[in-house]
Amino acid sequence: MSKLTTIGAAARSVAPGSSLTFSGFGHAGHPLAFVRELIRQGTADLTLHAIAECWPAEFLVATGRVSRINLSNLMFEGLGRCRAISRAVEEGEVAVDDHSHLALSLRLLAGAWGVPFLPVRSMAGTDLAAVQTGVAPKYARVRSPFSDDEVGTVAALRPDVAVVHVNKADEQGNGIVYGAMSVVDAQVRSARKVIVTTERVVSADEITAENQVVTVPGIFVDAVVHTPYGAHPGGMYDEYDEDLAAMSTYYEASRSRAGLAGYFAEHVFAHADHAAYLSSLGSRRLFDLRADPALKIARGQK
Amino acid sequence: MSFSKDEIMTVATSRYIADGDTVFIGTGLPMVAAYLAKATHAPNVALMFESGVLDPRPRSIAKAVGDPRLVSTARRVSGMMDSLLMLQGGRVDLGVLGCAQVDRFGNINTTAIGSYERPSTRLPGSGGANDIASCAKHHLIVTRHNRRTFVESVDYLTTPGHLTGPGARQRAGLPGGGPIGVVTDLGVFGFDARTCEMVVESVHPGVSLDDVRAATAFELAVKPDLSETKPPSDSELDILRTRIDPEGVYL
Repeated sequence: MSKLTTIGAAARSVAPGSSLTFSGFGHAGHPLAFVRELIRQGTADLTLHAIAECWPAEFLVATGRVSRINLSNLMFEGLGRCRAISRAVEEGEVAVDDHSHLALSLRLLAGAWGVPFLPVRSMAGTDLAAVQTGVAPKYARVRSPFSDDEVGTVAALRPDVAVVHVNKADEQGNGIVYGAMSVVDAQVRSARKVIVTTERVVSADEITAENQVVTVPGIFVDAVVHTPYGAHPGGMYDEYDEDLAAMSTYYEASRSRAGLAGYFAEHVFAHADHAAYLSSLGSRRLFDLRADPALKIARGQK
Repeated sequence: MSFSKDEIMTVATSRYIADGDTVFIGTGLPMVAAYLAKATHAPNVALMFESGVLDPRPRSIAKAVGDPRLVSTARRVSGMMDSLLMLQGGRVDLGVLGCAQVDRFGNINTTAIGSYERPSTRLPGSGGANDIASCAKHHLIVTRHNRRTFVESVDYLTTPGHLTGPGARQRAGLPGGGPIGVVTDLGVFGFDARTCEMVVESVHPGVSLDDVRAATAFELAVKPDLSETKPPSDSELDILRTRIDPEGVYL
């Protein structure tokens, strides 16, 4: 049976109070069309397990949808701090628990592999290990059962929902991500529910033709949403560049709460859905972002 | 040729990179330094990024570690866990890190200024920095130099330097060797083999030891053979300005 559904229905399946993890790294691969829909629906009191999903986390915090974040790094490369997140933490509105990238990735992998913890060398001797502010402990040291070595361990995490944006997927959710896959493999294997948003919906045969690079196995997937330009204003490798002007519009707006309210009114709430959002950008602008198939960046970019 | 602060920092950083090294870096000045090393004394350096990009040969300077300019020219592209587990396995010779605060042992804060739960300034967090400083054979710190950054004690210890001093890294079970140097806009610093504390190795041309001390909130030891940092050569400056970063993205 096809798992194809609408972005609205997929977003409605996320209950208030859920824990979420999102694909994306830097300014690419974030399921931002889905995030905008979640914001329209008002789903709140969310917990994020955020490794590199700076844009989803920033948008959801900026609209007051987040209570807690387990994070390893949230910043906008080339721009600076994520201002809404920084402000929310400074003012005590969002609680955080910090990890290294590897430690938080391994927490998801432990959840994915069905083991209670995994060993890790990172975080030893630092406040990442010593300061534990999450709802459950994240780090403990144990004696190796096979030697006298002591080693750090991190506790398994299972997000309620993983939302990942892929280049292409079939109707069963078998998804291919070109370029760096960040931690998508651990995210989809650890989450209780997986929502795939995809630039293109393709046949099962087209997936089978590249079956060694299927990062998202369809057996884990609950819903598939056809979402062209689903990572805008960020980019998607081998599809389109990040929209630097649109990103900078957001970043300027994020200087103040009033600026943010104006941004989300204009770019999220003013549009009934993702199609309306894309129409507002116009086809010329979207076309100009298309990546050259050989160079993988838009024509005219250096 | 005259040169900027960023240019001497870049050149001083590139000198830590040896031919054949696998170097784990982010974007910005460290990436420019790595490309300078590759274009000069270390043609066989392989760069690794936390995005899973390994050994790229970009046609133009990348603006982010997941930049298509890196991804499309890399010899291998995987994901974050793959690159960080190769790092944990001991495959990385040198990491290069920035910081918001650093103490005399090279411990870094990039998490929060003030208290952790209600900071006056919330910073981005560790990312891969803690992983790099834990497991790379050595790492280098590159930062601007002032009293807000060079502090007596970091507000939050994000990334391990020599922790509390001699033997502390071994006791914590950290496999990497720790920081070997600090490059700033004022000078180049090492760590004393006996005390693990930061020492001044060289000051940049036009900078005095008093300038360095005034910009440092802890007591700095000075190497007996303190020297002046070797300035960038004309050919290094030419490579930086015309080949590596002609648009001035970072320099």
